[in-house]
Order: sequence, then C-alpha cells, then structure tokens
Amino acid sequence: MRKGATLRTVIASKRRFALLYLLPAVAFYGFFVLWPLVSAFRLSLYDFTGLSSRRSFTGFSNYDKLFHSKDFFQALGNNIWLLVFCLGIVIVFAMLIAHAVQDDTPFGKFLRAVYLFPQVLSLVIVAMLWTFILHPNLGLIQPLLQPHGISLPGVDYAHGILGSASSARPAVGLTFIWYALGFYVMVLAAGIRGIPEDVKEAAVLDGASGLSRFRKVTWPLIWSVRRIVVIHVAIAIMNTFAIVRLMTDGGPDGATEVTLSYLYKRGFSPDSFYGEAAAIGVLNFAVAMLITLAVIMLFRRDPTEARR
Amino acid sequence: MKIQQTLALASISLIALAGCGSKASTKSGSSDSAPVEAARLDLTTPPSDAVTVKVFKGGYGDDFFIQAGKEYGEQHNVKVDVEGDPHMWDRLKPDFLAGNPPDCAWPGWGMDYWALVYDGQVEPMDKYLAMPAYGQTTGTWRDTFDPQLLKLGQYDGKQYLMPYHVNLNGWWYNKTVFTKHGWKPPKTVEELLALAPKMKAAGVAPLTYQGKYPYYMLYGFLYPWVISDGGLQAWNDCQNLKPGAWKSRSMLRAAQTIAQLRDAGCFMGGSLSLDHIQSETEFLKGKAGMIPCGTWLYSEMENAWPPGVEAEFMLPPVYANGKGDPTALMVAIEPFIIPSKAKNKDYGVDYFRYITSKDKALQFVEEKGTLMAIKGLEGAIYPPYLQKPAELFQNAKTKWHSEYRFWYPDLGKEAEKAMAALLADDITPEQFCDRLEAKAEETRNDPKIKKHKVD
Repeated sequence: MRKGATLRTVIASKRRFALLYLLPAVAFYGFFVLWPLVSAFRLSLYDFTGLSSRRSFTGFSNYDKLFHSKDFFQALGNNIWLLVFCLGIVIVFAMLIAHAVQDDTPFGKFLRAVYLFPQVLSLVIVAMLWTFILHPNLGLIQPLLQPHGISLPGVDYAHGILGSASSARPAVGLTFIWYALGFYVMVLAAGIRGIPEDVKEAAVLDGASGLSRFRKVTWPLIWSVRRIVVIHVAIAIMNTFAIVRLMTDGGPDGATEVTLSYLYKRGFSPDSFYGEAAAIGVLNFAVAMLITLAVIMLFRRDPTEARR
Repeated sequence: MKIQQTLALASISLIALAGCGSKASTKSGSSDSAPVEAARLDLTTPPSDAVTVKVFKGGYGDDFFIQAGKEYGEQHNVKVDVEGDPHMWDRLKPDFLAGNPPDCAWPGWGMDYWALVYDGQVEPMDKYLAMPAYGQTTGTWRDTFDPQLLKLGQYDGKQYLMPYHVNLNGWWYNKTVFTKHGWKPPKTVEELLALAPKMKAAGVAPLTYQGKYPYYMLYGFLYPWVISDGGLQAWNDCQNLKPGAWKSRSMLRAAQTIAQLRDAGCFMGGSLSLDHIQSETEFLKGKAGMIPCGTWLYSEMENAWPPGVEAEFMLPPVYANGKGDPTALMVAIEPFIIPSKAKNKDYGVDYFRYITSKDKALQFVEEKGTLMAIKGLEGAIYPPYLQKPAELFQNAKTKWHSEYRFWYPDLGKEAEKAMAALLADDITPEQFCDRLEAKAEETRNDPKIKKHKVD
C-alpha cells in the first residue's frame, strides 16, 4: 500500500517535472502558432474590415463567397499548377545535382561551391533579378532570342515573357526553382551521403552500377528524405507570395495570382475584407495540410522495411 | 510600388477650380449636404496630450506638415506631433482598430477610405465646414474648397473625405523625340492612327504603358474614349452601375480602339510585362513616344530622367466625331480625414483648417508644386513640366473622375484583369464588355455593397 503510494508519488513528481520543462516550449508554440491559427479561423467567421472593432458574425458566409469566387479558384489552381510544375523539376534536377556533388571531381567541387548561392539572396532580390532577366528590352532572354527569330514555347514576344498568360506562370515557377533548388540539393545530398557504406559496397559487389544502382539502392533508401522534400516544396508553394507580388502582381488577368497574393489584396491593400482574407488563409492552410497528409500517406511505406 | 507614393510635383502655382464650368460632379448617397449649424471649436481646453497628426510621406515629404505643426503649436500654445511614413495607411490601421487614431490623418493611397467611413471611423466634416476658414471671420470654410472636389468625399449627404491637392491623369509625349522627327502630338484618335506608322518607321513605338498595373490603361485609354464617344453621361452611367452601361456602344468602341491599336502594333513590345518605372524609363529613353500617366511623372522619374530629354503632358486623343468634350480631364484627390475617435478632434480639425488657409495652401503649392483643391491661390510660378497640365486644367470644361474602383473594389479588379486580357489579345472587345457588364450586374444586385451615385 505504502509502496504503491510512493511509486505513484514518484511518477506524479516526474510528470510534473517533465511538464515544467515542456511548459515554456508549449506556451511559446501555443501563443505564437496555435492561438493565431485559432484566431484566424474565428476571424474568418466574421464580417470584419480590420479597421475598427466593429464586426458581425456571419457564419461560413466568407467561405461561401470564396467557393463561388472565380478569382479564388483561379489563384488556388495556380498554386496547384506551380506545385506540380516545380515539384517535378525540383526532384529531377535536385537529384541530379545531389549526385554530382558527391564526387570529388572538379565539376563536383564547383557545384558544391555554388549550388547554395541563390539561397543566400533575399527572395525580394531574386524576384527583382529575374524581373530584369525577363525584361523584354533589357533582359537576357527576349533581346537575345527574338532578333534571331528563336521562339520559346508559350512565349509571345509582343507582350513579353511576364506579360503573356501562357509564359508568366512558368516564369514565376522557374524563378522559384532557381531560388529553392539549392536547398533541396543539400537535403538530398545529405540523404545520399547517409546511405551506409556497406550497403553501397554490397551493391557494387553485386554488380549494380549506374542507373540500376540508383533505381534499386539510392532511390529506395532515401525515401524519407524524398518525403521531406515533397512536403517542403508543397508548403513553400502554398506560401508563395513575394515572387508573385514583385514580378507580376498576379497578372496578366490573374494568370499568376496565388492564394496568398490574393489574400493580401483582399485583406490588406487595396481592399479591407479582413474576414474573407482570414478565410483564404484558413483554406490555404487546409489545402497545405491536405497535401502534406496525402504525401505522408503516399510515401509512408519504408521500402527497406517492405522488402523484409 | 505604386506611383502615387512618389508623387512630388515641384513648384507650381494654383489654378482656381472655381468657374471652370466643370460638368463633373459626384453625389454619393442622398442629396448634397444640407445646411448645418457651424461647430464651435473648443481650443481653450488644453489637449489631453500632444495633438497628433499622421501623414503619408510620399513625394511631398512630411517637412511641410511638420513645420505647419510647429507654427500651429506656437500660435495655440500646444504641442503638435506630426509624423510621416511612406506606408502610413499600414501604420494607421492598427491605430484605428485599437481605437487610438491620430487627431488628423492623411493616410495615403493605400487606405480603403470608404471602409473606414462605413465603419464609423471618419468624422463628418459638415459642421466644421460651416465655420469660417482659418483666420477668417466671414464666409465659410466650405466655400474655400472646389465644390466638385469636395463631392468626391461625400456619402449619404455628409462630407467625410477632405481634398487637399489634386492629381491630373492624361498622357505624356516625349517632346525631344517628337521635335526631332517633326511630329505633332495627336489630338484625335484618327491623327494617332495616321502618325503611328511614321513613328514605327522611325523605330519609335507610338505608345507604351504600365502593363503590370492595368488601371493606368483604364485611366489613359478606356475611360477617356468612352467619354469622348458618348459624353460624360456614358461614363457616369458605368460608375452608377446602370444596366447595360458597361457594354454600351461607347464602351465597345473604346475597347475596339484599344484592340485596333494593339493589332496595328502601336504598343511597344513587352509593355504588358512592365511596371510603371520600367515603362516610364523606356518612354524617356525614346523607345516609345507616348505613355498614359498622371502629373506625377516628373517627380516619380526625376532621378532617372535622362539629361536633355523633355516630356510634356497632353490630353488623351479624342474621337474626331465624338459626342464628348475634347477638353475633358481626369482629376483625383488623396484625402485628409479627421478620425471620429480622435482624442483632440477640435485641434485636429483646426490644424487641417490651418494648412488649408490661403497662405499655407499657397506655400504648399510653391514648395511642393501641385494643383490644389483650395480656391483663390492664383499667381504663383509654375515649373516648366507643370505649365501644360495647369493650362489644360484651367481650360477643361469637363473634369471627370474614376471613383467606382474605390466604391466597388471587385468591379475595379475585374476591369483591371479584363484590360490586361484585352491588351494580350486573349479576349475580344465584345468579351471585354460582357465580363465587365456581368461584374457590374453582380455588384448592382449585391445588397451588402453600399451604393454611390454620380450625376
């Protein structure tokens, strides 16, 4: 009886001790992450301008408005388009470069030195830089190709690369890729380097080389890193704002509008539909969560486990 | 960022708006303001703290307002804190939300003024306007303002937004390039179409525009041509959401003219991808001969203005057979407001009265160079680049505005999107009109959207 009571006391005291240690982090997370999320959801249920304390509860009418808004779905569609476009290119190129930087060849060393350069720049600088690169008269693409009659798919030189609906969206996507690729190269390269040496040696001894070694050893063994990359790209695309705001302001005709640039326009400038903007934020969060969950489901099986 | 930020028309004298015979006017909500009893400002009770004034620090800077604050403070033995910020609207939003706004504010172009008014955050000015102007004993303060510009700030029979300076919208032509080739700025669309091939043959694109911000093309191309074809009423019908107005014959003709210019290669290649600074740079470099822009062009591009290049303001060309007034000119204001929850409201009002007094307004004209909404300031000297705008302003028989964009943001946004699509040849002029008419109908039928009226 007494023994049991002592044990319970020890456990309770340990629990208190653990809670005490957890408290600062939990409080911090709760205050700066969870509370704003709950607040945003609460605000999304109100008709509210953000300019006065006057607000009226309207239930889900902000959501209803968004579900009937062509502009919102156009923006969300652009997010999805950018996600698919960027993800494909990022995975392929980041994988190639991650392999290349493993070698101690001069090219590998060169790549190791430069692949993170764009990450050093502020996203604002990157957007400005690419705006100039894509400039119809001063840029590095149109002025060089157009005089020689070289056309690019989807590009109408009469309106400029960022001025044609068909080319502005890929241009924004490529700018994102140029900026973000280095980060994913780093993650994948670390994943490749993390494959145990004995596995690599065994693969070599078994005669696996080149593509078959990649397909049967490297690719399956970096599954967890791949999952992180896909989730990270999805979240980064759903969070795209600065590039769009600076390069195209969502134009032409909404071709590059994304959910967050649309949120900014509705909630902050020039409009004051703060409640609706909160609803856009909540939906953006929900879509990002759904994509993340879908990726976790799709990539959940550990192939190394599955083989046992 | 948008151009109004860098507005700084250098020194220019004032042209009285009165007596210009303008036909444009705005009546928002019900009728004109009814006569009200003049307020009596309590300037004997000291302010609870310093009198606070927050101003947009754009092209005009904040020095004028700070100096005026010092002067006013000395005259009334109060402390006046004047603060400027290039994004003052962002700074003011939390102040309004917290119920702690300044005593007088000039929020700048990024503020959603009408949302502030609907939220009860802006003090109606009528009782104050019934007082004499600052330092005067007779007449009313209201009479010192141009009545048409005052109307831009009225809603439901009350005056909420106060005009101070005035911006004009039109076109600019590169005078250096035009003089070199012996061209004359086109007065009619027909002249423009005749001149365009000559300009192109000389390697100069007739026009460029700020494609990233399509409202420039709405202000510079579409609306002036609607007014030129159908008269001011055709445009007011659009702003009043009259059924069919956005797909009227005049609207269609204006859209068709834009498509015609586009198909004739009159627009510089790539214009749709350029922002205001980029397109205005190309214009000043002589790559394009003309550009739609307001009177702020000089101040906006002052640092990038190539030496020896001259540019002059002009009215958008009109249709030779148009019903509209060929002297019609677009005007716009960036209002001051007195927050209804200001702690020292009377002092805030009185500070604004002080800067709208004849002496201070004249000083603003001469120091900052702009046209003003305050009457009776003739006589100062114009800088060269503002002589033409001032002349056109004086001679304009019709002054018009585009306020619907602020009243009905969704319609404004749709117009911008459709304009980009039309210039990109993604939609036809007919589809352009259909898109806007559909949005206007949606706006008209939405009971939650408060309606304004122009007459």
